[in-house]
Amino acid sequence: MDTETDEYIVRRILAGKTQLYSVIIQRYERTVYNLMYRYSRREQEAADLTQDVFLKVYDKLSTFDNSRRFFSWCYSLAVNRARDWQRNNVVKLRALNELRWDRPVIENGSQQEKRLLDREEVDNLYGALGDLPGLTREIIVLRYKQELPIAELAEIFRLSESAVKMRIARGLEKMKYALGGKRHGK
Amino acid sequence: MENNVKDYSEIENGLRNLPDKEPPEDLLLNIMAALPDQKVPWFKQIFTRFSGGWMGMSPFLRGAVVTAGLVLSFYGGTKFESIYLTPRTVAGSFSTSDFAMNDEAYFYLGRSLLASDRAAEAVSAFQKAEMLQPDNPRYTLWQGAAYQALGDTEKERQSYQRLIRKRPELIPAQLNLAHNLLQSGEVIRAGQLYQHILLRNPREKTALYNRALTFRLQKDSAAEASGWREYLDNYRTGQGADRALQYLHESGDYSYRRYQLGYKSVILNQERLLAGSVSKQAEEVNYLVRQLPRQIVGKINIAVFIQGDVLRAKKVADILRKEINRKAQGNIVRLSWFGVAEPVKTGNAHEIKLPEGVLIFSSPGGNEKREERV
Repeated sequence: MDTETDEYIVRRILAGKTQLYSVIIQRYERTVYNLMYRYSRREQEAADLTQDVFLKVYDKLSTFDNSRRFFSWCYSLAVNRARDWQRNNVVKLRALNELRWDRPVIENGSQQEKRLLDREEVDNLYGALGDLPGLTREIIVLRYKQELPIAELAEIFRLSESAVKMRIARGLEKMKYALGGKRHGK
Repeated sequence: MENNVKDYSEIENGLRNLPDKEPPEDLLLNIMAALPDQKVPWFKQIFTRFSGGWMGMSPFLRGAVVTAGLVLSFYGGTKFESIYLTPRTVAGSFSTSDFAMNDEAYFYLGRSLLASDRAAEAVSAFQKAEMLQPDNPRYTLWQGAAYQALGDTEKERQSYQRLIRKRPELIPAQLNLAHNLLQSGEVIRAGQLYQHILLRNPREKTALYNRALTFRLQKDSAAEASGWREYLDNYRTGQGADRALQYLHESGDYSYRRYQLGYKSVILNQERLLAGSVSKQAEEVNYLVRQLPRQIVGKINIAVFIQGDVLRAKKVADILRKEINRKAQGNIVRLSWFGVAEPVKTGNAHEIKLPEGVLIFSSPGGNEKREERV
């Protein structure tokens, strides 16, 4: 079942195999959770929002158009939920780079410094990401982490392809400017 | 333009490799539990209707059906076992039940399990070794290493702390605990422990390096620079030295620099070389001469720069030449001196001016790998 497409699994779920929804969740909970975490900056809130999203996705499963990619459809629901939450919740947000992020495990104990340097680099990147407008940030994260094509990003965020490209270019420019001083130790 | 492309590609690679946060372990279960009841499909409804026939049977008939079912299951099971099940041997599996193992055997078992990426089993083996021989510190130390391989930083720490309570003077345990603290982000505690280790062993390499790192993470620039210098005082080669040098240069500290002597790239303390007094220079000159290739083609060129003081530049240069020639037992130095700042190209191709600097390079003449200015 791990190798089956999302669309096939969705058809099976709609045919009565409810338990297969766990496969969908396993595939995307991390991505959705991290999206919610970037918005809410709180673990519990992110978990609640992620649950909301997957329940909504399940509820609307019968309306899913099989000609689309499931992930795009699911993620656009998630982005909408995140933005709804943001509109309704004015909270004091901690900077993204102050939040604790999981580090990749490095087996060799003598590689600690690499891990710590990576952490500096990661903190700087998250700091620069945190300064971007929410939509631009999410487009950039999806573009590079999920390696989504521009067309799909345009579909998820309901923008034209040129608008997506512009946001990416501007976002990277802003990040480069923010990171420039830190990179060169200035 | 090329710099721009490079900068963007660094950012893009960084974005691709950004770590994610792990969702809570019970999130999936919670979501599944919260799913609304599904409508029962038609075929299930039919099955449910027919299964009602069972309830319509007499107790005697139900008993007969159950008995027949049990007999058939037993017969089928024995048939299956005789046909399909064969003795299983798993390559590389360890069975310790057939012979008695002592603590050392468990220890080596643990080591080989750890090397085979079977850290959980390795922990168990080390625990058995420790139970049999609690006084052997290796067993607890390696237990910590096995927990580290498992990613269980808390249990790893407990192992080292337990060992330190028994053997407070044991440096490997203190070192590993310090690494654990550093990994866990407890930078100040880690730094203090490294400092404690260095009081007992001032040349402990990892402690020297990581202590400087803790200062870097605490953004204590002065202590950090001092830490890197102390590291380079003791260790001038390897990745650690390269990085220490890089960090110093990033902060504008050029007390140490890299020089090309023939085919060798050598880190020297130029502050000591420029000291202008024989005693301070001596150690550095000794080191420099030891690094010289056995066969030097041509001479070593040394240029001394002291902004605004050409006389002092000449004096320093003269002392350097005499010392090097004396130690190398030959006239191998070609000298120049300048009363201006030394222009130096940094790693990212910027140029800076060092008010005081010494440039050392070997001359051409059969040496194709000419020195470039540091």
